[in-house]
Amino acid sequence: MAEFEKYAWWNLCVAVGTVVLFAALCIVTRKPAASMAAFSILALSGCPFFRLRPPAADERDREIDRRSTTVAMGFFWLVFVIAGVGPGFALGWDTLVRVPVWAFSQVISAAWIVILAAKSAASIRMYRAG
Amino acid sequence: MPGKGEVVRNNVRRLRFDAGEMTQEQLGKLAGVTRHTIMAIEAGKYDPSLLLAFRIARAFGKTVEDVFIFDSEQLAS
Repeated sequence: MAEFEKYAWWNLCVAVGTVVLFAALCIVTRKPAASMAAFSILALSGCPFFRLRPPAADERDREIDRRSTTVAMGFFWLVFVIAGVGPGFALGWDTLVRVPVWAFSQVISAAWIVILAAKSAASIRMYRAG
Repeated sequence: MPGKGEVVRNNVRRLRFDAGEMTQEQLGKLAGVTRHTIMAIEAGKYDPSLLLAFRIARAFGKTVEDVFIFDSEQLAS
């Protein structure tokens, strides 16, 4: 398995692990604000690059990185548009909603999880396909 | 990237064995890429850049056209 494919697996595990841990904490603590601690493990997504001698990417690695980033941003844009207009259609465009601060913070983390997971999954698929 | 009806085949695997059973790792080092990229090229799953094609050909002491064959009729026939 190529080094950068291992990184993609690592990042996918971090993204999935964060969601699983967050869900578990929500169930156990029943406090979404406290469950935000789960998002701290997202920092692990950078770990593979903190090596003294990180492996050099060759042209295939760079090509896969470029294509998987395009896929991830495309997927994120789709989610972004759905999340942007979905509540308007579901609740009505003039409806007032109160959003707690923790929910606002979670949106930022959720966006990063979507990008990380989509990019990792696309990279793994591209490495498998060649 | 080849278009529809176009295929780039290569003789990398045969040339490696002709070159004293050179390993993919050794060829990768000579060409400046990883073993996995050489594997993908041999399997026909990845078409290298022109620069990498020249490096691989030079590693074997051959021309690019000795290593890579552009076949535009294979799928059409």
